Amino acid sequence: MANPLPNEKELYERIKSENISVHPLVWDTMYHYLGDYISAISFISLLYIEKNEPMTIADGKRIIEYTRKIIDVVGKILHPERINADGKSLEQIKAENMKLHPLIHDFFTHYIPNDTNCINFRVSYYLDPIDENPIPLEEVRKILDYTASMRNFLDRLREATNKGKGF
Amino acid sequence: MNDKPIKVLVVEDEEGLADAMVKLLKIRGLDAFYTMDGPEAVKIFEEKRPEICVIDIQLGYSKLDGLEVLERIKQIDKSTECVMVTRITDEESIEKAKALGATHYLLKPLNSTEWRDVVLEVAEIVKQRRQSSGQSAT
Repeated sequence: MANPLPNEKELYERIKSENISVHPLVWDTMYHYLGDYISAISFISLLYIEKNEPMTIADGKRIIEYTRKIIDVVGKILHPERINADGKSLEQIKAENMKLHPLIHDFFTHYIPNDTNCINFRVSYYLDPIDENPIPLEEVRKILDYTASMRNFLDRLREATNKGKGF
Repeated sequence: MNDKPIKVLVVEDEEGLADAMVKLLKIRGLDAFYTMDGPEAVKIFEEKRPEICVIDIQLGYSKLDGLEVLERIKQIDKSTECVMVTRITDEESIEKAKALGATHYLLKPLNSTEWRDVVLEVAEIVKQRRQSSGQSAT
C-alpha cells in the first residue's frame, strides 16, 4: 500500500478546518471511471483467490489495461488542460478549468498513482514475453489489498472534503 | 425445483467487471449470467426469470438505466431480490432504488468480498423462501 504521507493527519485536519472541497462534478467523474476500474481489478483478483489458483496471463493483461485507464483518468483530473474529447463530464471539467486544490492534488498524486503503479509493476513482472508465468496467489492477494487501499483513500478524502457540502 | 441452482442476472456495463462477477458467483454454485444493456436485461429477465438481479444504476449508453430496469423487473415479478450498484455521489438514485423495492445497494469502487457476501446472503434468503414454499405445498 502507498505509505501514508508523514503529516497526513494534519493535512486531513487542514482540509476539514479550511473547508477545502472538490467540485461535485469532479467527484462524480472520478467515481464514475475509477469506480469501474478499481472494482474490476478487485473482482478479477478475488476470483483467483476463491479458486485458490495463480492468475492467468490473460487476466494479468486485463489488469494492466485497467491500471493504464486509472492512470489516464487521474492524469486528466490532475491536469484538466490535457482533456480532449473524453466525454461530457471530463470536457466540462476542462471547460470550467476545475483544478484541484494543491493539497488535494498532492494527496491524489501520492495515493492513487502509487497503488496503481504497484499493481502494474507486480503484474508486469510476470508478463515477460520470453518467459510468461501465471501470477502467484500471494501476488494476487497483494493486488486485492492495493484496490482496498485506493478505495479507503477515496473514502477518507471524500469524508474530509465533504464538510458542509451535504451531497 | 429446490435443487436447481439459484439464478442471478448481473446487469453491468463494464464487461471485464461483469465477467469476473459472474465467474465469482458460479464458483459458489449459482447460475449467474450477465448483460451490459438495459433493454436486454429486461428481455433476459422475462426469459430466464432469475430470482436475484444485481444491477448497476449507471449503464452508459443503454436506452434504459439501472433504475428503469429495476422498475420493469419489479413490475414483472415483485418478489425478485434486487441488489443495486452505484457510485457514492449518486444519493438521489439510491433513494429512488429503495422506493422501487431494491433491498440492498453497494457503492463503487466495490469491495469484491463485500459484494460477494451480500449476494450470497440474498441467495440464502431465496433458498429459505424456496424451502418454506416447498413445505407449504406438501
